[in-house]
Amino acid sequence: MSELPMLTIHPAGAGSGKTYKIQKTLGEWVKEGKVAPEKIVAVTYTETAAAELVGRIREELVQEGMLDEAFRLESAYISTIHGFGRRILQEFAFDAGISPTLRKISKDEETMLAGKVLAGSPSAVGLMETLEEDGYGFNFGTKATAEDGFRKRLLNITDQLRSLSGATSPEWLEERTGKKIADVYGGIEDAETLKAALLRAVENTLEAFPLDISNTYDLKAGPKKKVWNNYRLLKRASRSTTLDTDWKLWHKLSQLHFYKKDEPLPKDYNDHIVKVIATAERLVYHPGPLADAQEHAARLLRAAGETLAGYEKEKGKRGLLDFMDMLSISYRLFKEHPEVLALFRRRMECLVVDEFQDTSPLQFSLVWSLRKTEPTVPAIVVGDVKQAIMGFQNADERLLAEMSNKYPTSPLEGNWRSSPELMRWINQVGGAMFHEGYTALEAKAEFRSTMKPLEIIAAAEPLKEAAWASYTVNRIQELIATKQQVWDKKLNVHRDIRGGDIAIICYKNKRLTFYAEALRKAGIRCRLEEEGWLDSRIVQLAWHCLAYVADPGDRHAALYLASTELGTGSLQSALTGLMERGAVGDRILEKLEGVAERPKDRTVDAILDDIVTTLDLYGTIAGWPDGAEARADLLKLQDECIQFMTSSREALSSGGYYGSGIKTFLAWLKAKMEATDSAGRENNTRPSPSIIDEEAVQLMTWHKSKGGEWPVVAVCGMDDGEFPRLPNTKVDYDDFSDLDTIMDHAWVRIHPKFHSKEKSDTFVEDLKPESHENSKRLLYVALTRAREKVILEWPEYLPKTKGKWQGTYWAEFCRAAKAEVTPTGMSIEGMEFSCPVSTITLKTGIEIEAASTESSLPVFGRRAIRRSTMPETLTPEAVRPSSLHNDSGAAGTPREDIQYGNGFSIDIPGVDDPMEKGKILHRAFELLSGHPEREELLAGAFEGLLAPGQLKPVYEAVRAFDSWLGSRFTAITRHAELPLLALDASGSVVAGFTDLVVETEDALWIVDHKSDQVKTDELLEERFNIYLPQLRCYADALAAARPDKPVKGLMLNWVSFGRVSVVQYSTK
Amino acid sequence: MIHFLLTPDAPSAMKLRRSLAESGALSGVIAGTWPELMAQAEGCVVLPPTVTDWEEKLNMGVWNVPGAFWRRSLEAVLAEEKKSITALIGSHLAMLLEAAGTAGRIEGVDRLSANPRLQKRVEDLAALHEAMGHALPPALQPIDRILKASPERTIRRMRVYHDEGWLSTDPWQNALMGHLNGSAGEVEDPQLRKALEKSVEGSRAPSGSSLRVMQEKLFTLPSEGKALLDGSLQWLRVRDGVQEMEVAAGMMQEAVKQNPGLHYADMALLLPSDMAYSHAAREVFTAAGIPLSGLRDAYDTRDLGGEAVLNLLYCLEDVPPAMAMAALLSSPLMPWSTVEGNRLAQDAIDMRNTLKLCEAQGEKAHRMLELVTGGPADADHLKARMKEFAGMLDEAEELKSHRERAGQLRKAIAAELTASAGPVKWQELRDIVQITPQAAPALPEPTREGVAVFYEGQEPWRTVRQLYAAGCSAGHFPEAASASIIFTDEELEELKAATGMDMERAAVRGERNRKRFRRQLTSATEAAVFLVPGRDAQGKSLAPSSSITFAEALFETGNGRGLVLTLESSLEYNMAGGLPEKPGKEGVPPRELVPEDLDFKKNLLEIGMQKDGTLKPESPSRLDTLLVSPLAWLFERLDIKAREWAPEKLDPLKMGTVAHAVFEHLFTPEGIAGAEGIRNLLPELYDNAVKKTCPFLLRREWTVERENLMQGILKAALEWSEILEAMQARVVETEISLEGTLSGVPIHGNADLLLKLDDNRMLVVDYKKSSSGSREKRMNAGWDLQAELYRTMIETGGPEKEKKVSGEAAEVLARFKSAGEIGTLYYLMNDQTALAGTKGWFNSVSGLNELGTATSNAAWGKIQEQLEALKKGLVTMNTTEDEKTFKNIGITPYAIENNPLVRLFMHNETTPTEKETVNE
Ligand code: SF4
Repeated sequence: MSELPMLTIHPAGAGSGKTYKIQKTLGEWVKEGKVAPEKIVAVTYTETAAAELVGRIREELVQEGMLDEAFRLESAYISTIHGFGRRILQEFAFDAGISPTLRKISKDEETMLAGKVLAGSPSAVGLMETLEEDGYGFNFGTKATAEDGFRKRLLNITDQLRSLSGATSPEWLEERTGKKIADVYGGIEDAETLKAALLRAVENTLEAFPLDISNTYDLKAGPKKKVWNNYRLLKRASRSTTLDTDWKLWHKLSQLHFYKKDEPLPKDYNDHIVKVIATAERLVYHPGPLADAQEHAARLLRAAGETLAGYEKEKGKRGLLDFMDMLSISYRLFKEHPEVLALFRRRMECLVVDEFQDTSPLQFSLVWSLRKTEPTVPAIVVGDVKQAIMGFQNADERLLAEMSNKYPTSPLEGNWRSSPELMRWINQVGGAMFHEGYTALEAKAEFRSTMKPLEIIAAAEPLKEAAWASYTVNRIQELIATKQQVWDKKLNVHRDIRGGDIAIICYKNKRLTFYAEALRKAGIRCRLEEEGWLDSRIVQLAWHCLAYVADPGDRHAALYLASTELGTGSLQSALTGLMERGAVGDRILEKLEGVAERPKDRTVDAILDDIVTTLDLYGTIAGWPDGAEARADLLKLQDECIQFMTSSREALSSGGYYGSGIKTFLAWLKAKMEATDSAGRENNTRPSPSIIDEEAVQLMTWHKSKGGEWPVVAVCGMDDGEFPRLPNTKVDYDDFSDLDTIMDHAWVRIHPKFHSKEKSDTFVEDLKPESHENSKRLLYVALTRAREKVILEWPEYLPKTKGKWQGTYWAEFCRAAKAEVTPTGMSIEGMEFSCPVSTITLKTGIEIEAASTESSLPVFGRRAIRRSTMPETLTPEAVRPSSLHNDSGAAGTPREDIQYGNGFSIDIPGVDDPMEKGKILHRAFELLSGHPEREELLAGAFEGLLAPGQLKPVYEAVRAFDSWLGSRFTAITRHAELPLLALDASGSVVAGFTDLVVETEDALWIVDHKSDQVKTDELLEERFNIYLPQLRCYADALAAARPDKPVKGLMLNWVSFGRVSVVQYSTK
Repeated sequence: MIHFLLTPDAPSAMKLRRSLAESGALSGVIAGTWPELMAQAEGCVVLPPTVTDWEEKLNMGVWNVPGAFWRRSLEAVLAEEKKSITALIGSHLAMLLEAAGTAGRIEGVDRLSANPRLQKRVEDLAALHEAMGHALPPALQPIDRILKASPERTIRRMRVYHDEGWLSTDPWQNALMGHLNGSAGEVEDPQLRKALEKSVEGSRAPSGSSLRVMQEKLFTLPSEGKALLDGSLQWLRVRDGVQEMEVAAGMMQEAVKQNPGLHYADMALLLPSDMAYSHAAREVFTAAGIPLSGLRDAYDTRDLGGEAVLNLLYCLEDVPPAMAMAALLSSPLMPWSTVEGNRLAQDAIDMRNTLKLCEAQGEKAHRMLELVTGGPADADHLKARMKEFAGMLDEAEELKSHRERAGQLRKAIAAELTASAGPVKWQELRDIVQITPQAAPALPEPTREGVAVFYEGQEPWRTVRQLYAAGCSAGHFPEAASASIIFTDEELEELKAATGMDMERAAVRGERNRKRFRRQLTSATEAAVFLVPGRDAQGKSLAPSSSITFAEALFETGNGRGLVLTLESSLEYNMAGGLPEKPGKEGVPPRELVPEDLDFKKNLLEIGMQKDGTLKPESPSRLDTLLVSPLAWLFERLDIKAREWAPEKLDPLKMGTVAHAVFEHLFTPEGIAGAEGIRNLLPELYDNAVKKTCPFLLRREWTVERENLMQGILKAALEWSEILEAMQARVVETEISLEGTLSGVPIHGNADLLLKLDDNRMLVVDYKKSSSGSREKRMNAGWDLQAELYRTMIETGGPEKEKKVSGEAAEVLARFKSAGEIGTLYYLMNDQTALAGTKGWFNSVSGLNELGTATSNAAWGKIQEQLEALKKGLVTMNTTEDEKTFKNIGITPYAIENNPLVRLFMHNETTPTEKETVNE
């Protein structure tokens, strides 16, 4: 193993084949026997990447004929970092003292536990008293309350604290955070002086104008309201202590309304107001807001600390894990239990980390701890600082930068993705933006592109999102219509471009919907991860079906169903029905009532499946224009039912959900769809209706596009920007120089929001350099996705607009890459690239017309099934005795009934079941019949079942039967419990046991013991008719199995009655 | 003498039985699984019935091993988790004992010192075994008894035929088989041995075909290079599991159509054990009219008894969680109808204060309702109530088992209550009720004619011509082998080396799964189609099965493509064989939803007319709805409302109710509380209000909300007190019910507060728990309605009949009816602003804004117009622009937002109907 390099860092630019590099390297190592396949530890960025990596290595191994290695690869540790953490926790659950069941926490539980735990944190409760003052309010967009907002913030900080894994002391954290706030805050003055000045100005004003003057002068509505408000604020300020703490009021006072042109307000009023404003503006030098901000930050940290402890305990009890735990608990496990680490290290022979730039320090520390102690294992780290765009998830690209300084690097210098023409431009952009941080990549792609590598759609006048989309989509429509040739990587040929060769990427998810809309208008299919699953038509319809089945008294559901797609009535007819007959009445409702009437204990998934079948929902939607989407939506609903049924009841009750009926399910589902899951993903996304969809243009965000590539990429939405927002919280580190101890230098940086806009701006400024860097990296990712062509939206009108255009990606790009667009092309840091530039001078979008293209997509699945009905009768594969019991044809069979004894019945304490009693009797006959010598075994056979006194009657009963049998037959052999195996006439398998076969010199007789209480002849007759078909069936089987002797007859031994029914038998 | 042919599972036994029976009927021969063998073996020996107490001993034992490795985990978790950890420990102990052999003891622990962790774990399990009195697990105990029974107790003899490669057995099983065969004495029947071997081997496709290669070479290496793939094998990738079923069904139909000799019985469908596949198969194949044979298609059933008891416990503990109450009330076990139960449940969710059954229900029902809504119970009370409860459950026959289950749980809880004195330990009681969905017995009754269904974890049970394997994604075909949580594979190897105890390792399981997959392939003689899902039901991507990589080593396609054909690709679709033709006609699009205005040709205000023939009065909030959407108004009038459940949430409505209740007592005719008074009175008033309207706020997890709401109300009250003082107003009455008429339509409502300013001026006050922004916008735009309605009520009517009012109030109202000015005022609590629909009444009251007297002008006209339309029976649909329009004039259009039907039937704003054009 020593021949392997101990740590290699591969800085890898976009398209440089890093995944390939990892696959190859690992493949080599295993092939050369340097690493055992099951001992690979590889951390990838996505689960898909992990699966692909495993697949590729497996392929290499199989090709080399190393099958055993390929099998062993299945247990390798190749996964995302979270998957890795999860597996560690599972394998070492007992070592960590946690539950090995590791259930993922649900949103409900998270909310409930957080509420519970927060209530137990004194610091948190303290903070709650002033939620409004501290800027937490109802959010009308998300319907989140102030409390929700506060909880969210606190949990966010709790998460960040967790990512520090308790490496530093709380006091130090508070101090470090407070210091940062003070540093940014700037100079302060004496609080009393500032207040006195403001109070004086306020009082002077009120002295001069003791009454509200808003109605005194003829003012327009707006100014009038403002003057009214002036008065109110001044009055408030004049209360003795308000100005000591109410910074919001200070701020409002600095914004009082004063004289505007043509307003009939007295001049001295304005003078007073201006004075108030001037003194209130001094708030920025007031030490109060600073102290408050520091205190608030400190309390938040304290509350987060207190919450953290309680939260982990509560989760532990329930065996719950959240996304973060998978990392933080496994990190702690390795840290606190060196023996576990040692054990794990025996299972690890190499370590690979992909996309290292997106690693957070906690993730890093977890991985790093694997190789910290000696002897260490060979490791490969692949990443690209320029593609670090996950800062919002606490990733820190400085780790990779620092590592590259410390350890030998072996940069990947080729690019296999983009055409040489495009590469020339990318290299120039990269160089301009990152300077020495960029290594030009050599274009190695082996195809020749027939398209222009770059193309710019510039707008001279401000355009709204929809308008932008219309131009870009129009251009895409042209590309397809003019049959541009793209290089097909799989087929190695040039062919006509299809929708699937094109991606449109935007910074914001929301913006993509405009492009989707435009594409639909253009008749081009598209793929977009869309919200709104719950509101999709089929889900809404199924939802109301469920509601109606749960409660046929639900008039709303009835009305909804009758008047929409699946119903037959109109809104008017349905409402009329309700008004006149008290019922909506519709075919669909009748069908659903049928579903509702079936057993009451069915689960939600069973009921939904029943609805789906009864209404033939899949068949119905197959014909809908968006049938593919609808069936994907419906399938997800079925899955949600299953997830609900398999959710822990405890978890559900934690969230306020009780019971497991339809109504509870629907409530749960709605809440689930409104929430994001613990990894921050939306739940309410509509599943993609296809796997590849060759004709669909891919729509995705710049972030999501990372790792992807397409022949043509339209980079859109450059007028968006990453504007730092307050409050801002981030995990920061004072020192990266020692990778072993970075966690000891970690702290939570808080940029608070202030009432004074000016002060807030100061804090925003402080965040800007970081945001510039983030923007550059994100741009780099977005601009390097194309293989052949980049279409760039160029909002050159931006400088003409008001507002924060300077922070837009466009501005960042122009500045960082020194980019300029001319009518004939683009220049990057002085280098000219000639390319088509179309400049839009309109302020509106253009009309898009659908090209009438017939889809060439194949039709298969539901629509290719021929509907038909099931055959009516089917033959059973095997005959079960009970299935024969009710065969007719037994009535009237001649039989001979013989009384051989008195019969008996037994009473067994605790055994009521006649089946159980029957078993005992059978066993007794098996044991004793023909074997009187086994009498002493009898007691042992029924120990605990029969009292000693009960044994005798049993023995007597068997004896009586035996003596009758002996009197009638001269048995040569008695076969007890004889198994039979045969086919019956219809080809079904008969497999069963006869209680007894009596074999005489020349014949076979079948005996069946029955414990039925046949007290009357009628009863006996009835039971006889029931049992006879089965006996005949066995007789047939026996006759076939024993051709040597004929089966002559059948006997039913009515044990309780001491009587036997004998029937003659002959083979047909 | 019995010959027992041992098979790995029930399907393989079924197959073997058929093959035996087809070659001639037999007596004395059984083909079956290990449990069947055990049943026979127990029959061979005369022994008393088995009693097993393994589980009880285990549950005690896990706590009686000091310092056991599982201890910390076990202590840290709640009951549900404790149970699963205990089961995990138990199963490992059982496996260890199986491996340890028939001595029944775990020995050789000292030989494990090289690995302290392993040693500790085995030691602890051994200690557990000792703590359990060396009890044997249920699977081993009967073997032990048989082995130890004296020879004279044997009454039957049995010879076992076993193939180690088909079913691997542990030392106990081997010992038992040895024992049985030893006493059977007779030699094997070579015919039967051959039949067994044939079964193990399966069938083969014709040599030279790709399927044959696959059957023989999968997971090995071909010595003579790759073969050219022929049509006997296909891998088809489609979107998801349902589509796999659809494609399979379509291909089967096509295959039968193309080959006259081929029947559905000649085909098999191989499914993953995930029940979703079985359910999808049932649905799809039913639609296609193809019978399936051996499909396991049962659903679990709900534990209704357990749920009812658990919810009852929740409801009797403290503040009943709304949904627990609702779930209980709508339980099928309740002695009332589904419809009635749901109605009650909805009332519970809406937090109506009193739940009422309809009169016609019987005495039992009324008693039951009393019982469950009767509030918290102490231990004795609880016992009695639960007993009564269990006795009154619905008597339907189909619910019998659930009723019994409830009864049993009730008894267990009573026993626990008797055992532990003192206050009720609710959590412990609830732990007794583990909700366990009942697994329905999934006994398929295979038929001769149907397509045979095989399952991933099982042997095939029929030989067919074509096999369709679905769900070929990563982790399936072969099935992924999970590792033990207690021992690593390496440790298991060490264990075997040191002690000879051979517990199955993941690697061995993996090997077994691969072998089974190959045997599954040998069920087909002509062709196999592998269906590869690209996504799961949630739309997440799935990686393909690992076996495809191994197959790729065997075949080349000749056209440079991979083995898997993705049907969505037009090119690859065309390369696939056996697919049915495209459908001739297109599907039926859904019917369009057309927003048509409604015309009922009758006075809609007469709906729900009262007994005396008078119209049902309209309330201000209902008229607000009418203003926004006549359709929504009609729904309200017809009581058509989505009946949705939701956990308790502190919404603005509830906050408002609490705040109103507090204000009602702070500002009364007796006086207006000042700052100090407010601070003193408020906490108790607040508490009372919370208890009454949203008791859930008292729970600990709602502390933040509870505190914050109180602070908000406090602040609002303080400011309101100042405003009242500055207005120099006198409170005449709070919460007064008024009635009157509007355009001949009766109206009624409760005014929050009546203020008298002087003899000539009074104010009707409405408190709102919101901010002033949109209200002010609305008033300025002249679209306010509510306050004006109250004024109208005073002018056209007065205090509602049969409701009490103070003498002063009655007098004031009577007087203002004909003389004096009535003003309206909103107090917006959230920003403590008062907005008055007056002009020049006040001189500088800080926080009060007079917006003039035109605040209702626009709304007034509109509402009368709407009422006229209703009288004619006309209901106009909203337009897609309405929401925006209303927001612009400060109206939040809840009536549209909260009503899916109103939304569905909106006129598109670009095509206004004629009527609207006329109206404009
Ligand atoms: S009115 Fe009759 S049917 Fe309706 S709920 Fe009451 S008892 Fe049942």
